[in-house]
Amino acid sequence: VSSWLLDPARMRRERTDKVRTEMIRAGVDALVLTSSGNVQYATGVTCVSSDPSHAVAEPTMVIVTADEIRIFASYPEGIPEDVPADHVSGPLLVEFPEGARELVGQLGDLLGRGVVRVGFDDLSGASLAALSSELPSMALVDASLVLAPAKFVKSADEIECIREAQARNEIAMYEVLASLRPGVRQSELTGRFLRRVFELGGITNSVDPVWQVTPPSIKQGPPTLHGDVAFPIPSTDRVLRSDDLILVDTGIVFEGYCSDFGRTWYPSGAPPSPRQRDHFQRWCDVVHRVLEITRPGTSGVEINQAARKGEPDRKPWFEHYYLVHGLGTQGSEMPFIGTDLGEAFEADIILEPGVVMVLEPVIWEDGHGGYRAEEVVAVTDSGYEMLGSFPYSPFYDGPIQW
Amino acid sequence: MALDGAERADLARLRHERTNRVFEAMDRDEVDVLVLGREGNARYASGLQRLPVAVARPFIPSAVLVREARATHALSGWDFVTAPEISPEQQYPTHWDPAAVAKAIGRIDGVPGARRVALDSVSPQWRERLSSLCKAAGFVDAGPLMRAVRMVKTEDEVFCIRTAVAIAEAGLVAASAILGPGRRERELLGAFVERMSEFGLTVPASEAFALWRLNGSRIMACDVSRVIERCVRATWSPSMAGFCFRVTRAALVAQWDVVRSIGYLIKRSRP
Repeated sequence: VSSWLLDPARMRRERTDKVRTEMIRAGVDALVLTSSGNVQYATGVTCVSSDPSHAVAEPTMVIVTADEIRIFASYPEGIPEDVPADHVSGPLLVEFPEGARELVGQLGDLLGRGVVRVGFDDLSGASLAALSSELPSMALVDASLVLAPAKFVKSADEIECIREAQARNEIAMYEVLASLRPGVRQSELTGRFLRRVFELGGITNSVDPVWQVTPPSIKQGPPTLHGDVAFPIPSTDRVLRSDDLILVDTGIVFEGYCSDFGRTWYPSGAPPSPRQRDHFQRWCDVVHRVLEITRPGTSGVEINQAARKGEPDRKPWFEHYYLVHGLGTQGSEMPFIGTDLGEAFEADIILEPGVVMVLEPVIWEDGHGGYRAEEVVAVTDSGYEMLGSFPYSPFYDGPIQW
Repeated sequence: MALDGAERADLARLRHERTNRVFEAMDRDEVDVLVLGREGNARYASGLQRLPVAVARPFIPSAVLVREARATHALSGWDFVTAPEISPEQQYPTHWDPAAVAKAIGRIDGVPGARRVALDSVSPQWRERLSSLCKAAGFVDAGPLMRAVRMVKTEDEVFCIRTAVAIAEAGLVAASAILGPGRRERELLGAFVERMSEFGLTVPASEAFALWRLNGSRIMACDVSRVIERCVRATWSPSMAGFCFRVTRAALVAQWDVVRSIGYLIKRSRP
């Protein structure tokens, strides 16, 4: 860890305490967690990073109660040093009935067979069957009841991790931007990005990098049920052309915390057209209007309205996505603003110091393309702090002074 | 490059054969509706490919198969490539509000009256939703069914795996070519993924650590995370056997990623 601001042991301790406080508030006796971001948040255990399709084969799982943490993992590497050795066991292979029975045995041992309430972030088919038959009086609830409120406000340590993740993500993107030209393949950009990310150390890739070639009108793109621009489409070995519009989206993980990088790029290298400048300027205006009111006490509804104020014809974000999402041990977490969850949901979101938001407005003029980028913002005591500083090529050579 | 040439997997046939196998297993086990949330299972049964991520997504039914109608329904969203044979009528939309997704699944013919529903995974909230959608149903574990179906590969699958192995080996060759005293393990990882990307592969999520473990006395990993330092100090006994194990495992992991990507890659004609 390079940062002098960061104390990982303190960060872990504070998070676990917060989780236990939220468990009491939600009336949850134990958590059973296997999603890497949740495991990391509640216990500080780092899971081996892998695609969900094989992550389930060798899961890292933790059980958290009011006074104990039990860890079940294939690898000792990710377990913090302060965890007593007798709290660590091999993995519970809960995809199989045998592993599910072991899980049931552990829970019965920890909690007894009476009426208890346990939060799960995932249940295998085998676990569900074993729990239903062996521990029928156990109430199963979503672990997010505990974790979503715990994660909402970040500590200074957590924000430092996100700052560091974002910085390293941006360092790698400088190299990718330098390689952007007509004739390069999407997969080559991916290779360059990941090589640089891995060389930077201590980090992993959290999402298959997106270099989406986006046609100027929706009907030219892949059909979708939502009717908006199809995004993000997984990358392939597609060759970029000079007149392409590329929507870029990448993310990495540092100390368990995610970054989020978004820009719109043009492989041609030509100066932007007046229309492209207009899209970009309107995108900046949306961000400005949101930042103007970004401070403690502002509600999700106010953020939503501020963004839409100057864009009466079309919501300035993708219909199926959001204007704002949070960022932490998951690449997308609370607060969500601009989703289909509605105004009542957004009215309950009140910004506090330590909330981290990714602003991702989109300006889209169908038939002529548009502009999308992302900015990561931390709410401070009196306003906000930008956590990234990557330039807006080809519009600006340096970062924007918001 | 390796993917050019006449010999190709027939991916439409591959998907067709896989889906048929799933329906045959549903007949055998008398499963009326199969609900799949595990990425690998949903991909196998419906051809659905979600944007690969390293952080697990919360549960959502990604594919719903109805035995009687021989119908495959798949989630349609923003980060998806839906197989061409899944018509818009067989897709249900993604919403942030899970109640809206559940409502759409409830409208699928055969779901409300199902007597036996198999699930490979679920969340507590979705268990409640599915119970109220399929009021008369008993729920069983879909794990044994899907494992049995996926165990034996079709010819096209073997072709994909063979290609994947070749690309993963190319990555390992590139990494071993720069192996030497003073190299950081992350440089090997960088060379490994960059070489694979030259074959048109994108890499969804890679192991950040535990990929290569080098002999502490001769080749020291000097710029690695706290996690690795701890491992080298405390738990790793440097040996060639261990090194080979890690490399082999890395290759296996890579192969599966490659299989997935190749599946998508081959069906596109190269420009």
